[in-house]
Amino acid sequence: MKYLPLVWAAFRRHTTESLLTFLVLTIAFALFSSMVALKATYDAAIENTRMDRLLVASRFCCSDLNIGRREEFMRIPGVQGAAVLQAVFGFYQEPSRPIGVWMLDGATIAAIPELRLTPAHWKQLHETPNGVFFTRTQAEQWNVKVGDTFIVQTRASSREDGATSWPFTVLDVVDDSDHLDWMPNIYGNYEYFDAVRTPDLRGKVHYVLAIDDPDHAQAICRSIDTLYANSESPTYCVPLQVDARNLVASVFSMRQMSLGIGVAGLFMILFLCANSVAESVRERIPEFAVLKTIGFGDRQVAALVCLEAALPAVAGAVLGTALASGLSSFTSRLSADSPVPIPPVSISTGIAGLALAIALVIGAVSALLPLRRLRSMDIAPALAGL
Amino acid sequence: MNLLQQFVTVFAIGVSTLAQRLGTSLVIVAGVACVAAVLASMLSVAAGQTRMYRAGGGSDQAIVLPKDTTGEDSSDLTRERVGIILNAPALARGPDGAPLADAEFVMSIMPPPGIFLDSLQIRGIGSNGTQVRADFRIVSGRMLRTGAQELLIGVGAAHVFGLKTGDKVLMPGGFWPVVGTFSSGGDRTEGQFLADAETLLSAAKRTGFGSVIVKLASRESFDELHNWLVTNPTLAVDVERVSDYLLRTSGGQLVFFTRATYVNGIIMALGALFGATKIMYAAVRARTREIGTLRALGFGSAPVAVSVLLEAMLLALVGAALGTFIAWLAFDGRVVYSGSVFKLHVSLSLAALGLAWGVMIALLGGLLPAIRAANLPAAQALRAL
Repeated sequence: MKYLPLVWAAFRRHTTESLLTFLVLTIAFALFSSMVALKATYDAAIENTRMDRLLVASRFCCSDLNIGRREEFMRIPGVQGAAVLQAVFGFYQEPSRPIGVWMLDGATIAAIPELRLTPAHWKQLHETPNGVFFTRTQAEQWNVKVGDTFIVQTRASSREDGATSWPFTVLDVVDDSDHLDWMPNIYGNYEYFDAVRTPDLRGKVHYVLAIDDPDHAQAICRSIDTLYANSESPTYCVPLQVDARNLVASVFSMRQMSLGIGVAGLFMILFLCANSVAESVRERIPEFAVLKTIGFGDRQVAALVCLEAALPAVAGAVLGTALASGLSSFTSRLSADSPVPIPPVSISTGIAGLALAIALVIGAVSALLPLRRLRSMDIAPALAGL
Repeated sequence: MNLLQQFVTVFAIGVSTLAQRLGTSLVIVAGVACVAAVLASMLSVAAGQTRMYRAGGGSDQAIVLPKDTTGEDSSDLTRERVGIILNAPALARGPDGAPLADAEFVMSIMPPPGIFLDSLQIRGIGSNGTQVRADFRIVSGRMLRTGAQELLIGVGAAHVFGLKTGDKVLMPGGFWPVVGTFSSGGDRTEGQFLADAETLLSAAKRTGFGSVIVKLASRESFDELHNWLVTNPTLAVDVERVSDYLLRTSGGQLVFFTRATYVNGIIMALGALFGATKIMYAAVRARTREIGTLRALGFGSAPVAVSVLLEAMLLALVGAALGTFIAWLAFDGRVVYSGSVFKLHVSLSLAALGLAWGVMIALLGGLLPAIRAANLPAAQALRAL
């Protein structure tokens, strides 16, 4: 604490320049924290997707699997439930607002408990066949309430009557589900959907299988693909977690660039910090000579310089991380219309801790060269300002 | 000494003392280099993708699709409709006088084990499939045989998926051998497989085609073709230039990525701007005696201010050039996959953009220090002696 007045005095020597340095540090740490959080968010979204859920689709395009395969899948050892995977994909009001409604049935609700839907919900869907449930997040995003009519428009008709609009009635708003970034979190009635769509598409679905153990995922997938290899529609089975990893890898996303950008930001800070400390020490050589003359040892001088270097960096890291946290919702909004949207980004305490640790390292590294200079300083000429 | 001579002299003196302020000057260079490197490397994705869309004659090719379909994987174009399309005006003609148009069908298949990417795209082409692609050539192996269950692989797909001539790919009805690799001027087809259209349709149990790719008689003849096709009530088709179609259907990720690039670029530029202001203030302080002497000798305040701005611009331009060069070294020509295969491209226009951002950072960052330098009273500045 006794060094703080000295550090404050150093800060006040060139107030404008010190403030500018602090602003650069804040901005660079905000960028760094945002980028690290972005990568962590992508990785967490993949990690949260379950290995004990298997996507089973047709290996070759343009033909989904028959709904009749559900019973066959259920007979495979390790398979505990078979959910159908079908959706109406279109847009709401304007083509720039894409949306999907996942069509499910009673067996799907039973197979995937993380949906947080109950048999009572299924009963409601039975009573109002064109009903839909919105999760809380989706209800807020689309600004809907119970009883509203919600119309999904499609470009081409997939309905037997040739219409391109699917009018739904909002039955209720349900809790958000975990681990379900792979399908739209709005739920409709598969049986109604299947009865309304064109006859050539009826009974065609993908599946999500619930299995007993994540460690069995690859083996069960292999056995399913082998079983149907010579059938009319060979299958493609993949654990959802692997599928999520493939999806993120299949587009050049911000995930690949995020660390590079963050490191570039840190590089900027390191140069600026090192320069600021070096300049400050260079200008104050006589002051340090006085300190040494009145009894300050090398360690005390080193502590003072390190403190002077680290304090603005730490303050910049704290404010920058707070700024990044405040702007995190903006990051996901940027990608709302992207094919691989960014999941909601949040700055964890781990990221804040990392930013602080890096600030301390930058402070220490910035102080290295000036400290070498001070250690080899000849006190008498320095006192004379030579 | 006239005003111009004063500008030159003051600027030259400033530049000659840069070596004494090397560490400080490097901060501006490094800051702007970071901004330019991030901008150029991120925008190289969009530049590479756009170049791929326009490659292989993308703008003098048109694609005819069934109305309201979003891709080429439908099979709604019956042979009868294809026959009508081939009679359209404004199509380029081959040596035999036949229209350069090819009815095609694209089928996706899930990736074989070991390929952790998106689905593979198999494009069924007809007899004119290579002629509508002016830059098509076989790189290794041989051309497809009509009616045979075999595949050609584009050089981009071969690179990304790690497949080569002689490998086999699981297709409907069994494994199809890869009989050769091809290039097509860097267009999107290089990221796909080619097969004989009729064989592929038969394997997929389809009868109709997904699209007709046509070569226009000239770039200007698109409107004529468009009017003829869309006003024909029996056809119900949409027609677009291939480059426009690709931008429309694959542009979502591109738009987001470009948007994110500029947001990042602006944030970094703001940091570099504050950094440049700080450094130029320090530079003015370090040059106080020099500026005082110049003012005492009769130099005006304007040359002093401009010299500060020019110095900042010089450093920023060096930084921008360095950053763009680093991005070029690291990314230009790298083959990547993002829904399709393409090469990252750090273009000259990206280099110019980096330089422009550098100049803006320098001008804005150097402004306040330049004003301070111009307003330094000569007497007070000389006291720094």
